[in-house]
Amino acid sequence: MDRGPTGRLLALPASRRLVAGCAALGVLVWALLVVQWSLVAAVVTAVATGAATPSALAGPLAGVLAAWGARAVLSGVRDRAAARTSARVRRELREALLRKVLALGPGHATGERAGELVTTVTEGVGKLDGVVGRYLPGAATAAVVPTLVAATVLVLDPASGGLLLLTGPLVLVFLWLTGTLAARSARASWDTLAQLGAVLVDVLRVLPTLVAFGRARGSVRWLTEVSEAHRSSTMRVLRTAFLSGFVLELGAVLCTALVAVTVGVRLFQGGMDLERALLVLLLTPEFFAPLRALGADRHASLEGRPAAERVFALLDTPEPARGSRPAPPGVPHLRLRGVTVRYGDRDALHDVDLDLPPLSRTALVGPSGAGKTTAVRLLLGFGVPDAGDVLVDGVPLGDLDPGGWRARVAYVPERPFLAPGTVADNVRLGRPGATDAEVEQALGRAGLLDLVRRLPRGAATPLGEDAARLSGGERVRLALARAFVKDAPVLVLDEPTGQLDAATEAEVLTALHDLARGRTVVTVTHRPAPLALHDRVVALDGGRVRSPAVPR
Amino acid sequence: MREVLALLHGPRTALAVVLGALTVLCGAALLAVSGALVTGAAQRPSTLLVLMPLITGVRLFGLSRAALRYTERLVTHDVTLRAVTRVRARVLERLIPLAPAALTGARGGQLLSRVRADVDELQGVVVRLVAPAGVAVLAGGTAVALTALVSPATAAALAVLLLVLGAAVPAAAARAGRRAAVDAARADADVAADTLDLVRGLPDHLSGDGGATALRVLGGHLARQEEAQRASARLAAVTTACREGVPGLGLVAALWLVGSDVATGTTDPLLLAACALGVLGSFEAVGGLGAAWSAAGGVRAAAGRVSDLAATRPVVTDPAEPLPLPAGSALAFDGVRLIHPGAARPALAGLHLAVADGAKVALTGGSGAGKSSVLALALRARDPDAGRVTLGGTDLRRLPLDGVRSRLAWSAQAPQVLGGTLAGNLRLGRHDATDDELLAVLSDVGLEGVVATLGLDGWVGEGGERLSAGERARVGLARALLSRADVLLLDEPTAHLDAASAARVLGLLAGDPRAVLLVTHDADALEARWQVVDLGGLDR
Repeated sequence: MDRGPTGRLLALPASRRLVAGCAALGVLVWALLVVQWSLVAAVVTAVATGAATPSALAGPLAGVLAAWGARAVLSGVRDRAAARTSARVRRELREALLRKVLALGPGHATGERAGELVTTVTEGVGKLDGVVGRYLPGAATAAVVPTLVAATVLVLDPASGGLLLLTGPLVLVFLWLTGTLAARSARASWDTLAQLGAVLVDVLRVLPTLVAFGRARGSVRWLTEVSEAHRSSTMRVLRTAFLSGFVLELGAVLCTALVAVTVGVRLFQGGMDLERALLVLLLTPEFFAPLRALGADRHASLEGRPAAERVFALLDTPEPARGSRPAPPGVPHLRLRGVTVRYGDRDALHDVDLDLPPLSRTALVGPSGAGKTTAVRLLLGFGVPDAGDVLVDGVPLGDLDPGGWRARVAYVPERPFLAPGTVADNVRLGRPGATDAEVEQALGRAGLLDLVRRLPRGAATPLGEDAARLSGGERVRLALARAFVKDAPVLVLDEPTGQLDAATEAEVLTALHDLARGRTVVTVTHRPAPLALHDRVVALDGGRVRSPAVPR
Repeated sequence: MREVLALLHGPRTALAVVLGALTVLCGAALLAVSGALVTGAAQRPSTLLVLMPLITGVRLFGLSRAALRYTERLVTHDVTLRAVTRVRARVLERLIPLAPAALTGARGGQLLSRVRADVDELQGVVVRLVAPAGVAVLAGGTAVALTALVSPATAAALAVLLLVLGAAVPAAAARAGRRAAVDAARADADVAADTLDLVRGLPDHLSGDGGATALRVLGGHLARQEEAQRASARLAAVTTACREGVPGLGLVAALWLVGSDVATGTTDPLLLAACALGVLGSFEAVGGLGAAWSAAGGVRAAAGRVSDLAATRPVVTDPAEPLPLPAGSALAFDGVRLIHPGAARPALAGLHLAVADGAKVALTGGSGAGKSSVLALALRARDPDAGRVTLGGTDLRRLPLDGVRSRLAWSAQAPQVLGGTLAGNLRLGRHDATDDELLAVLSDVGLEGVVATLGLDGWVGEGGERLSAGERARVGLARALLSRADVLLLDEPTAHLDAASAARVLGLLAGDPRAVLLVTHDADALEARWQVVDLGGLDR
């Protein structure tokens, strides 16, 4: 019936087992309720009519306690099962999302805002607890217990039972109506919250700049205004969302009041006996209790529903077709044939032809924004051209297994990302199985050995967030070490010496010369020195090849 | 906890508590009056009029309970959201003094996660902690007092059971659950931090090992997260069983005690069902306390971290009695020594450098020679470990921070671009710049192309991702050029530029009347009027 995100969560095997279990527990709970309240009604009647003293009724009173205790334990069991299922579903979804993020690649992480991606994996999945941990088990209980209680009351007193059967569905209809309205507003509220999260992340990211320009105080005021706007929009949502709770509460208490008054009047007229009247009165709140709990849980699930939509939308995002052919052995022949890449309405690359034979060393030059970085990212398999082909030994890159292909390409970006682990961890990102000796050798060839020896724990020194210990040049050289240890047949360099002084640049170029031997090299550069490393220079401008490959 | 209470709006919070207590009492009263009505009717009084007060009571309590509950929930959430706004502002305010220096050291992902998680934790303080506690005291106390009118013994039993359910059980659960809560918070923070790292470093992870290492590490965090949640689930189950079970004890106690009074004839039989059901309804008073106790630990931890933020000593502070800003903005470094924490050797050792008003100074030197540190010292992102930095002859440490920074404009090596419009980013430099001024400075730095495709009000993308690295660098440069500062501090302004653009920018800077202190690795490209200072030379 519900094909939305809640339905998809329900379709997970773990959730199905949970719902079935909760329904079965519901039947037991109903039986215990009937036993417990029958005994209470009998005791009250006996004492109130003077038929017995409490000490004579110790047996029934013990029975009440036993039934009550058993019901309490069942509730605990239900809650535990729900929480465990929820924890498991959330872990599995987070794992699936992280794999998805990797499968979709950097193209998606920039288009889809990076902050929002993180929010979906962390908070978004966290909110599903409201659906899996509360709403689903609550709904199962609410489907079973009230039905059975209504049937029981119908047998005991058809008039009161009829009242329950009349108000119950009415309450449910109102619950559904208001819930649907609230769901719509909750989605809007989630959007605001996600934007608010992105705003906070962005402000924190640029805080140093804001401080330097004396704008930090202004950002506090601005953040306050945004939060205030969020408050008033959320309050609008809640006014509607709480209506469902109001309707349930009103329905429940009015029905209890009605049953009490009608039963009372019939007792007065002598049409009913006290024990039965009491039992009906005591069972009536039990008809509404699961529905009321469901109203509260439904509010939690409303918050979770838009989150679930984001989660499933991300999981459903089609992955770029993953080729399965193994990457050809040896040093490959790379070609760009008529490649066009569009960013919005501008062509980052326009009908570019580029031939990169094995062991060629090509420098891509051109003004910033010419499409150099776009071209090398295509070679790495990050993104697919909008037109044309990237060919590896004549095979479209898209047909190759992306993992296999990336293992054959070493990449040194303009500003390398350094993971917060140790120096060695960062080098091993190139090849996780590298031995300590290989890591040290790579560090040496990248010209980092002096630095590593100065660090307190050598290559095992943690770098800390954003590697604040390292200068720009050292970062690049660490990324070079990563490329050295990877030992791949294709080397892609994006401004490898852009941040180095002349002396260090010369050292790194010597190292690069050593590294380049026996590989195909593609380098983006605007500096003259690295050009000596290459045998051909290709100039790009405005996404087009301005001059064909110029042999040096 | 003072931290928490400071975030609350007093009268609104009190209103929420009173409404909550009335709701609970209405529910209990409805049950009690219904019980009395049924028992009373069974006694077959001479006329229905005898039962009329009871019938009216049933209707009154029924209607008002629903209305009270609705209002109470709205008020509570309104108080909560007001607190959220205050928490966000407070956290940001406390981060600002720490901003330039401390934020680069702390893991950005952890910081992000911490700020957002703490904000989330504190925002629940009214709903989860303050309101339930207030309702428990107010409604529980009233219920015990009313019960005492009928049966003091039953009232005593009710009071004991309310304390057990409201205080003893949750306190024990919270104590037992503290470890799981800490584990969960730590796992949550790790998951958030490493997810952010994975997303930011996606190209490096993919081209490195295809993300295998990152996935393995995150998988470990997720397993810890699930284990912590399962540990909480075990405790929650026990708490639930108590919450459902203890009211049964109250009901049976009331039946026994009031029933004995009825049997001996000291109490009206009418009151037996009324009292038993009223006692049962009273347990709702402490219904929210279980969650409150478990929330208390998390709230306290979050409040503690937010307080710690305030207690963290900023690397630089405003002087207690700042001197007035000097007339000139000549910068001078006087025997300046700087050691980065954890570094084996100083980044700067005895630097002497003067940048007169309008002077053009270029810093060169090897990687790690401390070029960027010189700019950081000038901005007072840090203070020197020895020696002094002066502005117009006055030590920076004696001048107001805002004042110092208003004299300087800074463009980092990779300038931070805000997710917003191009114009918004530039106006950080000068908030009242006109569109014409913006267009002029953009053309000066060679960004006409971007203006043509994007427009001044075009969205530059998250972190300026729709601009290339070279374009972002020039946006940073343009921002500095626009500012009314006397000294421009530029870190590698030409690093991302081709030779022609670099020459143009350097020419522009040479012709600018303001003093310029720039870091470059390419001293050969500079005209004769630049004074070149080789830090590598000073250092070696």
